[in-house]
Amino acid sequence: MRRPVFAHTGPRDGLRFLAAAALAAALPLVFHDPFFVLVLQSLGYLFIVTLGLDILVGWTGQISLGHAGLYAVGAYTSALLSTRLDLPFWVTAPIGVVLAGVAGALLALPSLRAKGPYLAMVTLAFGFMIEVTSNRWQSLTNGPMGIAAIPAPTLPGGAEMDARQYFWLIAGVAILCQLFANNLLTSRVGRTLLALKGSEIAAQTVGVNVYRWKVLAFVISSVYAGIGGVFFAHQNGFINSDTFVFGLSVSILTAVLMGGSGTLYGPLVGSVILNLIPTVFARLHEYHLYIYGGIILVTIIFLPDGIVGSLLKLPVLARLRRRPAAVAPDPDVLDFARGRDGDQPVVITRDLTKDFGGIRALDRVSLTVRPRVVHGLIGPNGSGKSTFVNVLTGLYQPTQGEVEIQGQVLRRTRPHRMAQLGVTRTFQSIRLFGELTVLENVMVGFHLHLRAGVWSHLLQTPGAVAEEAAFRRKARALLDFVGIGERAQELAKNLPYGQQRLLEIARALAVRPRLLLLDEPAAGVNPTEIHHLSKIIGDIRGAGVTQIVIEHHMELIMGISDVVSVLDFGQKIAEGTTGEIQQNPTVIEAYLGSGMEAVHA
Amino acid sequence: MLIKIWQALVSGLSIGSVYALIAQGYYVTYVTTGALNFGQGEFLMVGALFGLTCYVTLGLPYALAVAGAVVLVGAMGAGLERVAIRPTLRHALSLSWVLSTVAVSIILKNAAVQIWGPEQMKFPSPFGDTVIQLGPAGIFPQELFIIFGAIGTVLLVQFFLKRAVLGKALTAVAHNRNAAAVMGINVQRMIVLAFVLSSALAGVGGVLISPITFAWAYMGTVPGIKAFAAAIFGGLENPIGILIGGLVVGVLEQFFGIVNSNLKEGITFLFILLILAVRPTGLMGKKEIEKV
Repeated sequence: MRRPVFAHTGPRDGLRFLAAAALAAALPLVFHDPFFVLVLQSLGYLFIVTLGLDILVGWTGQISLGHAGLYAVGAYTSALLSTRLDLPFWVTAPIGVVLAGVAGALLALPSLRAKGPYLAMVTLAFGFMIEVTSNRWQSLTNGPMGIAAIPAPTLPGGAEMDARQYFWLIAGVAILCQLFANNLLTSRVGRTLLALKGSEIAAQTVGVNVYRWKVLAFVISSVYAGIGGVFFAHQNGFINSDTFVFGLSVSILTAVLMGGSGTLYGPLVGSVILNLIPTVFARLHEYHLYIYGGIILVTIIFLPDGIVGSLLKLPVLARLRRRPAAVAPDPDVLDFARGRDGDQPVVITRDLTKDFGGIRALDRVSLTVRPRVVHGLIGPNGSGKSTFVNVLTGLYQPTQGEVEIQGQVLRRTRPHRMAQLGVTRTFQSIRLFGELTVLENVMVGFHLHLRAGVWSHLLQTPGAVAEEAAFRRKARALLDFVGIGERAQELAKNLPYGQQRLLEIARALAVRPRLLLLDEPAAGVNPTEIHHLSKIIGDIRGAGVTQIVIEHHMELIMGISDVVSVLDFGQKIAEGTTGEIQQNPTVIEAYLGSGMEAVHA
Repeated sequence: MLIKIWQALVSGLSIGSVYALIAQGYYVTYVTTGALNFGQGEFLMVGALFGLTCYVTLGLPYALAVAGAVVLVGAMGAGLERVAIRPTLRHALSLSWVLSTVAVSIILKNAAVQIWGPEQMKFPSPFGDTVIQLGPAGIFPQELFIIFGAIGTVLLVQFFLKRAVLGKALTAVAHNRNAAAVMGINVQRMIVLAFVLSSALAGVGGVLISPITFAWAYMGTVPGIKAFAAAIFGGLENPIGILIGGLVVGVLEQFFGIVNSNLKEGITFLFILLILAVRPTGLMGKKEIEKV
């Protein structure tokens, strides 16, 4: 699916939002049937909830089957505070929203490591817990009997808002919600979330703290759900437990998919259409579940990209889309070595050992990597090379042994922490962020060097905008450095294989590494490209970055390495210059077997 | 108190073995396709109501009612696979089968209300309503039958998967779809078989459980979700874990029911949340090591 390009933000969308505001202002004036105004209100707050869920589902790649629970937290909080404590809407509403956000943060905790059906279970269980609580904790919620006489918001004079004014309030907040979502999603935040969706592991190795960003996505999503819940509670002055059920969570998720998950305006389209349907088919009450179930099925089977997603795919519309402006490269970035570290070793491993069950994949490997060298790492299949890289980059925890970087001794650590220390990598099986453009992939690589945070991007402060622009130019320069600058605006997943490998290198360089680990960079790459690759590795060394290169391609490794270490059965069996290694009898035996075995074989 | 605990244990085991039975169905389809039927509870409901029609309205023997439910709901499984599973396996959202199977369950609920009405109906137990004493606790013979029937069925399914040629073919597809295809196994047919089997289990569950609850259009949702919790508890790829998971969830619920009936409804979900916070692939699930 084509993604919005992260170039346009904030002010340029101003007109569109003014038009939306004018439309919202006019609607209840033109159609003043009270029922119609009520429907408009519902469409408004359900849209906000749907938008929030899309941030989680479409952009972060998580799922929630318990959004009704978060909606309930907002609704009950505001309803209870205003009926029991007589607090005004303007006090209870923010508290309801904040509590929904807190509930979202709590829900995030068990969700962090759970995947697929297990994640579905976490959110489902949360939703059911809230459902049961609202139904059974009668002293608090009054269960199915509900809470009545929830006051409407008051105007400055003290009078209660009428239905039309309440709709205007909801619409105003909804427009702000869309604006903020656009700001977040078309900036660094959306990019980082889509990176998590693409590959959590790759995101970690460029320094993204996956847990923290997932919690952020859950909290934003829950805040939106909470806003919706608050508006619902004060709409009719009455809520009860019948609303906050699994079916509501399903309906919100359906709206996301119907509109198109991961698009900016899909939630608007999806929620409006889905929530208008019951009004349209009100007479067919007996059959409404058939209709509803049928709509879900049709959406999933025939509209896998959703309405907006499918429209964006139409060639006509694709051509109308704004071409992203060309980005002028900023060559300063090529000075990417972080601190030329003198002559101290960049990394020392001591007795690094890794067991998987009963198998020892890595057996007391001690290695010293000197600065500004290309350190080749070779060995037969299954000799532990990849395990070594995975332990060194924090993806696996060593069973024994330690790693020393810049005088810091580490026993257990996480990948984003290693990236902070300047250790990053590329992957044997390519892990790009497929739904991001080539340029944006490199932008994610700059994660640790970007200063503008969530709030700056939410408000699109000049600082945040300027920083994005500056780093886009740096990213472009890195792409030129590896030779794929012209493809900057294409989706990463559309690049040919060899160029994807180069893009991984460019993304890793954006981290400004002390130590760059290249895990079989030549695998599946054609001979011309291998020549190009070895030149790039040389240039990176020239810029002062230390590299460990794992490779089966002997010509490449012997051509570029300053030092070569050899692993076999998890142990380091030899180390030396390329000439020494090529003559070493142990190495020859490891690769070819001993003379005796050769005879028997 | 001791009597209450004993009583709760027996009813917990009987309801838990039905969870285990439904959850076994989740296991069979999850390992073959990575998807499962979120409307399994509604399939159970159809099994129960159809069984009721056979047994009471048509006056057929209980065994035939069971068989009828198995055949009908099993056939529904084939339809489900075609309509709600096959089109979704390549969907952008990897869990879209959740929604499509929920959609089918919504339609089934509507259909059930139209055919059988919205009321709760008594499903007479073929073993009568005489309470038998088992130690200090009184127990319905149906409850004992459920325990033996459900666990027996689970074991039978395992035997089928491990020993029968067709079952082995299914297991092969679960382990490695491509390798199985190369060996001449019709993968698509095995996937259909998995859904038929899974649905048939729900059908059996319906006929087993309704004599101790009621049979009605809305009976399925909660057991379906709780069985899902049981499967998650044990780890979706671990059939023995699932069996234990079902029993644990059933017993846990009944124990908390002694203290407070409101707690009984929520405890399963609280419990599963706590477990997943600590062990993201269930208590007895395999720890996933992502190959890099």
